[in-house]
Amino acid sequence: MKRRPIIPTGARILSLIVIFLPLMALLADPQSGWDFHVLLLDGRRAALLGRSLIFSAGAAFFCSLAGFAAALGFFSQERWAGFRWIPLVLLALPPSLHALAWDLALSRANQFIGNIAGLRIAHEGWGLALWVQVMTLLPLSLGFGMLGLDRLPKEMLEAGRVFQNDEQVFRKLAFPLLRPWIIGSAALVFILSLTDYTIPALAGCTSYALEVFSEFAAGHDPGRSLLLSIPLLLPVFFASLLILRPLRLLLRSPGHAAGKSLRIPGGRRWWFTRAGLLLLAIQLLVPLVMLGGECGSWRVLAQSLRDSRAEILYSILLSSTAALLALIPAVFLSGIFRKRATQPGMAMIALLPLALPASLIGIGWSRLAMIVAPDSGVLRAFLPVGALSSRFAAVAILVLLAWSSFFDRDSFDALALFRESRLMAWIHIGIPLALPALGASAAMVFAFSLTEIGASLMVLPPGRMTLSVRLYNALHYGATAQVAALGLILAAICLGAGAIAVCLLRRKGPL
Amino acid sequence: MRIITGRTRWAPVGVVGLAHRYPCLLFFAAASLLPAGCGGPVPVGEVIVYTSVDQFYSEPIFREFESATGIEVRPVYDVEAVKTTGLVQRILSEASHPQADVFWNNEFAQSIYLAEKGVLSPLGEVEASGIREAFRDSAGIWIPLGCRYRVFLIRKGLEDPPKDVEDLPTVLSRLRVGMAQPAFGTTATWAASLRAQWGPERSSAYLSRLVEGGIRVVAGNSLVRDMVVSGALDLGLTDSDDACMALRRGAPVEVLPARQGGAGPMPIPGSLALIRGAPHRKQALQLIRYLLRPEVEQQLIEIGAFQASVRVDGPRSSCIPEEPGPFPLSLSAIADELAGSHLEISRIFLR
Repeated sequence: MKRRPIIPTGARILSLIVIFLPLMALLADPQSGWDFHVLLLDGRRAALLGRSLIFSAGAAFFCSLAGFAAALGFFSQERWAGFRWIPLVLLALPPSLHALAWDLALSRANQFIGNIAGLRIAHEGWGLALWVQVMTLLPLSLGFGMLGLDRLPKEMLEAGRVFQNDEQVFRKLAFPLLRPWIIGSAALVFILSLTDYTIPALAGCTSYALEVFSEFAAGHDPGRSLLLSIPLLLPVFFASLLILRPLRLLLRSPGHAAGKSLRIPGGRRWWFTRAGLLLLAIQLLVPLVMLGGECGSWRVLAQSLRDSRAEILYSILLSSTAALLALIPAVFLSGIFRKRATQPGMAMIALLPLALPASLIGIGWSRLAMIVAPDSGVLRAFLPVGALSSRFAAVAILVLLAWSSFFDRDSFDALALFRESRLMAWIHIGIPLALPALGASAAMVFAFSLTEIGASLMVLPPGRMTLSVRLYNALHYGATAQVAALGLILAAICLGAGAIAVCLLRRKGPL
Repeated sequence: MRIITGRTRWAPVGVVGLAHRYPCLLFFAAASLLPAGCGGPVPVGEVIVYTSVDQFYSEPIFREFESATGIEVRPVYDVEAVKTTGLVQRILSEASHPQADVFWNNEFAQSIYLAEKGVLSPLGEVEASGIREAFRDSAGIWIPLGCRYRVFLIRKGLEDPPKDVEDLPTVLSRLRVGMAQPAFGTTATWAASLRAQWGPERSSAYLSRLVEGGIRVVAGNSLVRDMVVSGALDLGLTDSDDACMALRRGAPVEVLPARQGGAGPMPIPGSLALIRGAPHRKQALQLIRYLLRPEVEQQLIEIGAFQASVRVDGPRSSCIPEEPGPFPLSLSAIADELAGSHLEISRIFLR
């Protein structure tokens, strides 16, 4: 029997609007010069690209390794089962704040080491950039690792233990099943590291992403920046294949029942999980302790909370709406409700907004508004939501793709037979089945949107400001206590959102 | 996972059905409407300002203007993290249907660029008396307001600090020196001023010597300030507002004008401009006139947004202890070198 597609046509149209139309509008920008010569990389740009690729590969390797180790250690503790999502909260801190926290920590360490041994750790260089990048993105790898561990077939592992020792069971059974998740997390960290110049720039290092942005800042030519971004797009494309390929392999196997814990094989690997947990503890504590210390007192925190009430509310509303909107193209482009679960070509294009300078996405939306309805106040007010959705829809797509291997398509089809319309089947069966993945996708987009400034700054309505814009203003002003307080507020918002998401998902069953 | 089956009666269909099944969607729907509602057609008594002047400095001024005139100011702020290019690009992308009325820039180069692009409207009807000739825009498209300078921020008690930017390469062997990435912002303008003053070969050789000598290039001017304050640098080349902020907070630092080739330090006058086709032209002109009042400029100097007046015999912040002295180049001559300078900067610093 031919299976009917169940995503309404409206969702496809919305997907096209969210992802493709801003890019098309960008192509039609009158400021663009379209100098195709920039595609021929000269020696300097090639060297920058090479260095950025090495840096991103290093960050991907160490981050996925540390994330996997931490997940292994974290997952083995049954009593932590309800709080496993908490380390993911620090994804909400902007990279600049992680860098600030580590800079403060280094200063303290240098004071201490300097007094004892006269040594000094450098506040700059690729080594420092790599460390901060790994620490910033560690929650992402941890999340992938925990997702993989959660989906390990416990029965298979227990059966294996009848014949082999823990070491062999882990090596021969568990690890091959976990490998796609580790590779997937490495690929995502690689993409994010390659396309963001923030942390290398703060450590005094130059990257290809910085080159793209400097050209944009100097020439104000979106077309030239778009062309200059193409060398970044190719590695991003291949990295995303690394995410999709293992997922496709997983699609061929039936979904497994979620396990609540995994007995970690002991012996030789204990140090690996302990090291992972230690790194995780450092990753959590350094920003919180340093920012808490800089914040100084509860009074400063309360004052910042009072002063930024409007920004907090606006940021939460903006990020929530963007998270919801991003789900539409994510559901459509990931194809989770279809037989052929992925549409690689479309999904690849959806990755484009992640690889471009963030401002270009904002400009694309601004241009789109100029073309469609230049005087519409409602449309202009919607632009920040659109820009954030475009920018981070790719994240939601990847989460849904990761989940799609566990979607029980046969159950869905069987139940859908009894429903009178595609929409009703989708509402009453599809969404409940996909709720954990939709919740996770929305949470990720929410966290990324909360700290975004590049795209949203181009389209924020006059008189409105997000919490992250306020934070960066305070950073420039040198109001460190306020910066720390605002950073803690951002983390607290994510903690609250995470808690709500977990409660909702628990009520619905998956956790 | 629990799948609800066996229900004999369906909830309402379509959007209502979705809301019935998932009440949390109502929150998101309300959320999406709130920003929309707030961004509707602008009432007559409003003015929209795009400003790169820090919110901490400009917001109190806007509130005072609102109290004085009843006109609501709706600002859009820029941030250093996006290298203050966001608003310029936004103005350009909105050129066919302008949303902003006023561009209040804390420097001049981007205003000159926007004037060349034809997105600013001449300010002929605004009287700005007493402004120094060196800071005037000959076409009268933008008007200067408040001035910053390029300065050296040094650790207190630093022996034999450099007096001129020409001295920087020679002190690199004994001091830890830093500056912001010259591909962006006022440091890019400063690099262009070197090119305008010394010519391409000499300025290029000078900047190369800085890199070879190991100058620390950091993400922004405020970071230069923070690093000098924390002791990570002995000396930083930065903007006077950043440097003077450290002094105001009681940090153990000193501020010296970064003289350039025997002349004064490069001035960075702020600029005010009216957007061509501004939706609220009348209110915009009112705001511009208000901001151009000498007492507003003085207030901006007192709170640290700028360190000197653009007027002849205007006030100067005590943070700059001595008269900076004249700078030999016109602002437009500096702006003209920005594009050429960027190529050199990329070659020398982005590698």
